[in-house]
This record gives sequence, C-alpha cells and structure tokens, in this order.
Amino acid sequence: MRASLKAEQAGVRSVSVVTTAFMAHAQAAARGLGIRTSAIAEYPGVIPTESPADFDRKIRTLLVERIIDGFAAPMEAIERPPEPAPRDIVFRGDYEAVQEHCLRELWSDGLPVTPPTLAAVERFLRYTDRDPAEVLGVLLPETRQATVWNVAVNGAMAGCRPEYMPVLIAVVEAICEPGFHIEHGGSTPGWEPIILLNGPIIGQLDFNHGQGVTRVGRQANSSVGRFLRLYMRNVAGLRVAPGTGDKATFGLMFNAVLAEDEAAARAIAWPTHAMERGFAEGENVVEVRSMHGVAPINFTEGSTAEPHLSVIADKAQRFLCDWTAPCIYMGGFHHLLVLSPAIAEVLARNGMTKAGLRDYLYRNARVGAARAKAYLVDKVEVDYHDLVRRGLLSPDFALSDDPDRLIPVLLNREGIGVVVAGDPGRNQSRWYAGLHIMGAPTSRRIRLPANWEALRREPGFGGPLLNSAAAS
Amino acid sequence: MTEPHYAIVWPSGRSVFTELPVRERAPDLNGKTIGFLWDWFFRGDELWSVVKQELSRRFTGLRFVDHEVFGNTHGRDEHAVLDALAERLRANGVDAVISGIGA
Repeated sequence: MRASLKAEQAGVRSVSVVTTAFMAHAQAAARGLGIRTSAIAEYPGVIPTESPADFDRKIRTLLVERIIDGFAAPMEAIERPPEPAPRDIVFRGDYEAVQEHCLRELWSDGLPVTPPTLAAVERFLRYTDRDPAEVLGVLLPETRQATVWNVAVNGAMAGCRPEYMPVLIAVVEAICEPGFHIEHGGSTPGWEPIILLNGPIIGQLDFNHGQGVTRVGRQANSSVGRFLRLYMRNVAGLRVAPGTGDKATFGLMFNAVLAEDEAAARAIAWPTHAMERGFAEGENVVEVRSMHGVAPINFTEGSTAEPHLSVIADKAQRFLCDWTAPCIYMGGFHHLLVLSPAIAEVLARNGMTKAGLRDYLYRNARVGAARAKAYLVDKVEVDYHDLVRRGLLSPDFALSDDPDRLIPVLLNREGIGVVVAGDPGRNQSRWYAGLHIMGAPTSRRIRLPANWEALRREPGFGGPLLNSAAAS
Repeated sequence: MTEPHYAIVWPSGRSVFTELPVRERAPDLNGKTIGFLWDWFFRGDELWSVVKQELSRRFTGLRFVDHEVFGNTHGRDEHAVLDALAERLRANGVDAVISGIGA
C-alpha cells in the first residue's frame, strides 16, 4: 500500500493486488494512508500453496477483471468519522460496563483495563512537565498522532503506576522513530517488541532485573510491557481480529520489561547495554526492539570461559541460522543474548569483555552459505559476493565460491546485544531472535520532570513493594 | 451498595492522513503504459506475466514497465526505492501501476 500511495502522490493511478486473507488489513492500511479502498484487487486464495493451474486460472478469470475494475471505479470519498477531543468523555458506566464498552470498541487487549478517567490521566500528567498536547510522532498504519496525553490514557488503562510516565513517553518516542519501522508492526512473523531498561530509574520504580526478570509478576515490568502492546493497538492501529492492522500468523504475548542488572555489570567492569549504545553511565534509557522467538535456555557450567562460550555459540548456530539470509536480504540484524550474572561473572573472570564475547560469537557461530539461503522464501535472493562488493556485508561472507563454505550466522559484531539480567544464582543464558529491520533497536533517553526528586519522596511512590526484602 | 461509575476518555490519537486529490479513473487502458511495483514475494513475477497477457488481449497499444525498473518495494532498500519512485514513474511515462503482492 505504501508503494501505491507513492504512485498516487505522483499522480499515477494505482491498483494494489491483495490476497483474500489480507483484504481487511489492506483496506485498513489504505484508509490510514488516504487511499481509496476501491483501488484494491483481491486475489482469491493463498498464493504460496496454490497449484500452477489454479494460480493461472484465477489470475486470468478473476484477478485481471478486478484490476480493470480498480482502475475504472469511481473515486469514493474516504470516510472520516468524527473524533473526540482528548478531554471529551466518550462513555459513562460502572466498571463492568466500561470493560464491555472497551471490548466492543477494540480499545482493550482482552484483559480488564483500568478505566481511563480524567482524574486517572491527570495523575499520570503529574509525572511529566511536558505539554499534554505535545505530539511525539505519527504512527502507522492508521496515521494517528502519538501525544503525551494519549500516552497517559493508555498508561492508566494498562495498569501502570502514574510515576512510570517518563518511561512510557520514552518508549513511545522510540517506536515513533522512522528507524523502528512501526509500519511493519503487523507483519506476519508476528514479532513482539521488548523494552530494555537502564539507569537508576530501575531501582527508583522497582523494576525487576533479577530472578524472573521477564516473567509477569512485578508491576513495573508487567504493566509497562502491557502498555506498549495496548498503545500499538489503540494508537498505531495494530489489532488482531476482530480488528485489523495486525496480520501476525500466530503472535506472541506482550513482553515484560527487561531491566539490566547494572550492579552485576559494574562489578565485573562490563559496560551496560545503554553505555554500549552511546549513553553515559547512569543515564536512564529505554530501548525498544523486536523479538520473534526465544531460544531454549542455555545451561552451562565450568569455571573457565570456553565451556560456556561454545554452548552459547552452538545455540546461536542452531537457533538463529535460518534468519541469517533473511536478515542479509532485509539489511538489518539484531539478536539479543541475556546472561545471568553468574555466567557474565565467570566470563569476565576469565578475561572476557562484552566486545570479546561478541567477537567469539561472530567467529564461531557458523552456517553453510547455501544452507543459509535455503531458508529464503519465494523469489527473494541473496548474492553474498555482490553485497560484499557494495560494502553491505563483511568479506567473511564471500571468502570463496564454495556453496558449502561456512559463513557467520551473526551478520556482524555490533548487532549482537548483550544484557546481564536474571537470577544471579543460576548458570543460564538465553538468545532472543530479532527481526531484521522490523522493530530495529531504538533507544531514547528518559526525560524526568524537574521535580522528580520531590515526587519520589511522596508516600507510595514506586509501589508497596519498593525496596522490599522480596525484591531481588 | 452502589458501584462506582466512571467517565472515560478516548485512548486513540487524532488521525492525520492526507486525503489524496480526486482524479479521473481510467476505464480505458488502450494506449496506456502500465508499470508493476513488486515486493519480490508471492510469485508476483509469474502473476505479472499472466496479467500482461490478459490485459494485452483486452486492450490495444499497451506498453509495460516491469518491476526491475523500480526496485524491490519491500527489501532492504524499501525507503530508497519509494523515494525514487515518482521520478522513475515519470521517466518511464507510466500512466498506471499495479502494486503487489499483499499476502
């Protein structure tokens, strides 16, 4: 649809070919881009599994007529339903009635939402000194404004504490960045964003960085993770059926925030993830990135580095090798490795730095060049030698013409994210697979209001479990 | 005991898409130049080949501009391809495009 939009903007009539399963999605995308939905021609079927005979017949007898009709159809006006002003009351009712209404309107993620009353939203706005009307960006596919106000609304609905507001704003700023590619948020691999968090705010707001770090259970990690998915539904317009915009084949549950164990990183003189992304030590930073699969846990043991490294590299080889060629094709790569503090400590004790770890993994996780390309679908092709010549791929991918030569599974060292988190008493690590350019890692500094320290001293700040003995 | 009541606000954001200007449609494709924009998926090249045949049976004087001229609308260079699209359409005298494949 984006290509059709560009053609139309250039004054060239367009018709988009879309298969049946994507019609509702395409119509929603078209409306979001200002394209008349009559300019969509439906191919009836599932093309990848269509027989050659049926494919040919359907094109000749059905699709071509629809294409011609698409060019001939009158240009109907795009319906613009009236939209409420931010402070307009859109519904009144008791708790149950609010839940039913939000479900009907597709404002809910299927779980109960905290009613977003004016009072609830105002409580969130206390934790930012930014204008509620400030536009943070515009989100596809529905081309809607992300504002400080609607961040607060969705933060309330997701069950966040108002004091999470600076984090929520930074998260939305990140997904508004063009490099994050929110326009691919409804793609069929069904990737889910994960939020990485660094800085003193972790402790200030009681984010879990230890045992069970990415399990739902700690209010901060769980509710902020839920907020992002709810925001992508309500503002970006990414909804699974009965909504439109999200064509995940399966989809994933929202991710709890992954906060780094910065004390553990400092103890072994490793930079934090945010520091590696160019931020100063002690800065509050969020990063949002896609993940579309989690590898089985690596259980490793030994007091030297090699037993751990070899298993972690082997897991990358086996779990991530089918995405090497697609990542090359799409020009983006970002996989994440999470190490429990115990594993990070034994590596560091044996002289391994984060950079050294990346280098080891890049050199040792390998796949056959031809085998990697076997995972490409359809007419997608990767020419290693051409990409090396153009400076888009390391020469390590074209050292010979032997199709069985081994190439790196991990496209480069820089794209390997390393975070220290999880149970410090367990010897485990885990890979998260990122989805090339879709949801590319995007970091934002968290802006705190001028009176943040005064707010922190207010009773109840951070929740009833802040600094409790149960916190790990 | 009565249940509390809530007055809630809208969780979405203002829609800011730009509506394209209304233009003439093209029921008559005779003598037109038609381009194909493709995302390199879902057998679009095969589809285009058949579409060209069928359109040529129905209309006269058609000229076609294939997808290689414009580039991949979904790959690593998507943004660059779309940024260059207007100029390539003009340079090739394209009157109408078929874009695919959404699937």
